[in-house]
Amino acid sequence: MENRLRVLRAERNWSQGDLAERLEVSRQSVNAIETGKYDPSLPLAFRIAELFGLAIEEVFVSPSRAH
Amino acid sequence: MDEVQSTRTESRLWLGAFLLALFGTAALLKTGVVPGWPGLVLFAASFLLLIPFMRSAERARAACGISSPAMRTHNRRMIVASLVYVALLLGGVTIARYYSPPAAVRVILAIAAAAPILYMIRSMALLLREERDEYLRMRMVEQSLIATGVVLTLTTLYGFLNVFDLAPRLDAYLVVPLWGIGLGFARLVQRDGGC
Repeated sequence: MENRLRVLRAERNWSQGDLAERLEVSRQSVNAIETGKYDPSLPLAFRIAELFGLAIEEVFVSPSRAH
Repeated sequence: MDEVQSTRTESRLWLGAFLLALFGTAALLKTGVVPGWPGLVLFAASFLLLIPFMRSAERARAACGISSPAMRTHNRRMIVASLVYVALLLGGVTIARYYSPPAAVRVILAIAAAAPILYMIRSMALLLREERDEYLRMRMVEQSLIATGVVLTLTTLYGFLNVFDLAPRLDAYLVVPLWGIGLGFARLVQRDGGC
């Protein structure tokens, strides 16, 4: 699933490790989500969106709308 | 050399040292070069190399960003179980060989030797339950399925080689280390971001 995680992280000058620490997940999890290799569960997706103060659809792109 | 590479190399060297010591001391014991108690003690001592190996593997996982508290707990359980296993197995074999106890005692010795291995299987189940990181948990489930596939494939093939008298019978408990090798294979297949 496409997402804006890398951009949002860069805007805040956070490394993958910084984001992983804030989300209480492993750095590899952040990397896998960011690169689209892993789609997070709904609770984790909500946590990510809430951390950035955004709605889920502002972080993750719906597969049906992705190009 | 970056941290990921150097910690991985260190971990592989410890694994190599452990396997070398394990099979080397087993060969010394089996061939009678170092027979009896000294041979058994050497064989048992080789398992101590599991401690630096597990620690270096933990450092490698941390460098790769795939370390977790649940995994560290699991590793501690596995080290303790391995050391208890060696002590109970060697103790049991020695009692069975030198004192020829009755069948009931041999049953107890067999169960005692198997108990730490059963604890390792339980620890794997606990790891899946205790892992809070959903991505790491998914990876573990995949690894377990691949390892199970490896065991089913190899034991089926070996079983039929055995039926047609092309291979000797092997002890059934070997499926556990075989499953462990399957896990190692799964991690190689699954390598993620160079880790």
